[in-house]
Amino acid sequence: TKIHHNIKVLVVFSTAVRKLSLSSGSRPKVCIVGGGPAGFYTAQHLLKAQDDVIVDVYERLPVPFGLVRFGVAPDHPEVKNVINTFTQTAQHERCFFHGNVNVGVDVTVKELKKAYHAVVLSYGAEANRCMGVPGEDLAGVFSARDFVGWYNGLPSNQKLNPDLNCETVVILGQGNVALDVARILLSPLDMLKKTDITQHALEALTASRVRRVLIVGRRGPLQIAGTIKEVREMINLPDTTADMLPADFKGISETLKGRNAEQNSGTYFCFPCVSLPQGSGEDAKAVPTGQMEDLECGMVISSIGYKSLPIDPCVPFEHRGAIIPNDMGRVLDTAGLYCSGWVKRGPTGVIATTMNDSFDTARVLLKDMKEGTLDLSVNKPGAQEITALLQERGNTHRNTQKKKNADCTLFSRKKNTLLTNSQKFKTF
Amino acid sequence: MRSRLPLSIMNHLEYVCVCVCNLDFKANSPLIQRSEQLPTYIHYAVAYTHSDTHSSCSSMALHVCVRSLLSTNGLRLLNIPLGVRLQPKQADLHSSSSLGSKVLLHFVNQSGTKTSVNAAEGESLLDVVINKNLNIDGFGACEGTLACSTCHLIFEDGVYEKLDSVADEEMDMMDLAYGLTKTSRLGCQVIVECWMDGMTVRVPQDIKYQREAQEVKNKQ
Repeated sequence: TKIHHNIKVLVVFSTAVRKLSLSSGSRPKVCIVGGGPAGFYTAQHLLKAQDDVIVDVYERLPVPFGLVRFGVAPDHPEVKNVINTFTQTAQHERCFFHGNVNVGVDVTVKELKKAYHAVVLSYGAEANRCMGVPGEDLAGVFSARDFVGWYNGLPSNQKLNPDLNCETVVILGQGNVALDVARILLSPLDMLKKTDITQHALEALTASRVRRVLIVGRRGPLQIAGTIKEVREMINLPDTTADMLPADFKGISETLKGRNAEQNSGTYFCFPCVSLPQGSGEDAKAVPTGQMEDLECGMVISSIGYKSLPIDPCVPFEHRGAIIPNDMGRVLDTAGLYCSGWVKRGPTGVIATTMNDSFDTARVLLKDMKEGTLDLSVNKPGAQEITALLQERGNTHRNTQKKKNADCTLFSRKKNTLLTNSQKFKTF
Repeated sequence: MRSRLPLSIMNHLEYVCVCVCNLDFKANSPLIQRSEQLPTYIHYAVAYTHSDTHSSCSSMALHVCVRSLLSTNGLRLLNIPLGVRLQPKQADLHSSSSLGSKVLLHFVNQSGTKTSVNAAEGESLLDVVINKNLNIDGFGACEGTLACSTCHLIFEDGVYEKLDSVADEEMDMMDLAYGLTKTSRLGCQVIVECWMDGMTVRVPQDIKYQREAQEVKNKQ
């Protein structure tokens, strides 16, 4: 890969500068920090609703799309179809993508606020929740995030080198990420070969001795964070059997009978539980029983949730929930600052949830523009000023004609075997 | 190739003729990769599960089957929405220029705006929204591949009952949809048919619009 993190020369990958027929000085300018689903959906809504707004999307990595690119499992390529709609947004004449810009390091939020009428923080959750148990730092203990980044080609996880020379892997957590990891570990190789999983991961999985994956959770079957689709996939995975403990299912059918038909849309399956839940439904709490069980394994993958980090001292941050405190997307106690996506409401939900959430933030921003809460009478320089700042600080600003070429040359990944017909789908 | 089909399908096989809509197989179409004998429009016999508990076909199973069958003909299924309709008897040849009669449909979007369009029989409701460029925010994110719930539509009671039954895979995705109702379906799985003429479908009303409407009411 051509990205060198240590040297001062930073290469900024931007979409080609298009000539705007009118002077761009007087137009409302919005800056979005983070080029993942939240950032792009927010941009999409803004561009559609207001025909003079200019949107600049800044992304730390050289390529956009965030977790859609690096978090979605390689055997779920359909989920990545949203990339088509994001690409169209990025190619919109009033939208500009600036890659390889680390907001908070290369440029501050204060500087962005000065250059734009509004700044939207959509930088997601880049860290993981820690278990806080002894041994978390031992070799052979990985975060699911890093493991997923490894098989998806995230540059910073390239050298992870998980040792798959063991028979048993324990995954802590029962959400969709945990299920994805389990599925990738146990999928038949000829299925994996057809996906765009990275070459080195495929080689490691080919040589893997892993035969047993335990997915461990604190509460019962009704409380697992994973969704039915992923559970079903796990159960139906060729050449694998799902093992469940009958004791975990005590009382489940009675509980299910009491629920509405709407909510009970499938069978629930479970994996070994650490303790019995007290209470019921989503409020059920895990209560330690005092029983201990030793599980022998060669690797532990911790998949208990992602976590956002504070980006800049001038942006308020609520450490307990690890989100930016906000009211419907307006960052509290700060004018001109908004947030959308996981950094706004926490790192849960699917792309559709983020979509609705981003649209909500965009609407709030547009309302503020309309009502004068955001002062649009002042001209703002926008990307011009930021680009100048970055160049001063040692950035070599390079325009690439096509973002997609950058995608192909920078990362060595297996070619996506599914093509999509994006022309049929127009967002504008 | 046959051995790739799931065991459940292998055990119970029944052949029906399926008219695979919205696929343009003309010789110079970019969708087709190198096949010598190209009929202009193709019919496929597709195996579907026939179990005692339900007679509806699993869409995923269909995808698997159609893909397998296409590949034996040197064709590849690309990730475009399938407007698939199960027809036990008829094997109609549809040309793309006259895909059946026009059906009047009304769509109500998230802010309550109603748009009426003439849809073609055989397309999915997702196709209608895309082709007619209807103003519905974020519709069809996964492009009809049952990987999201953004094409969620709410039907009128009488209409909902007459729709084909829901496959497991669709149900799984609907579980995650915002504003789910007892008459909800995913638009990519519902195919326009003549009897739907005049029906109204809507998407869940925006929380934002509901809130604003409430604020206006409160101020009065």
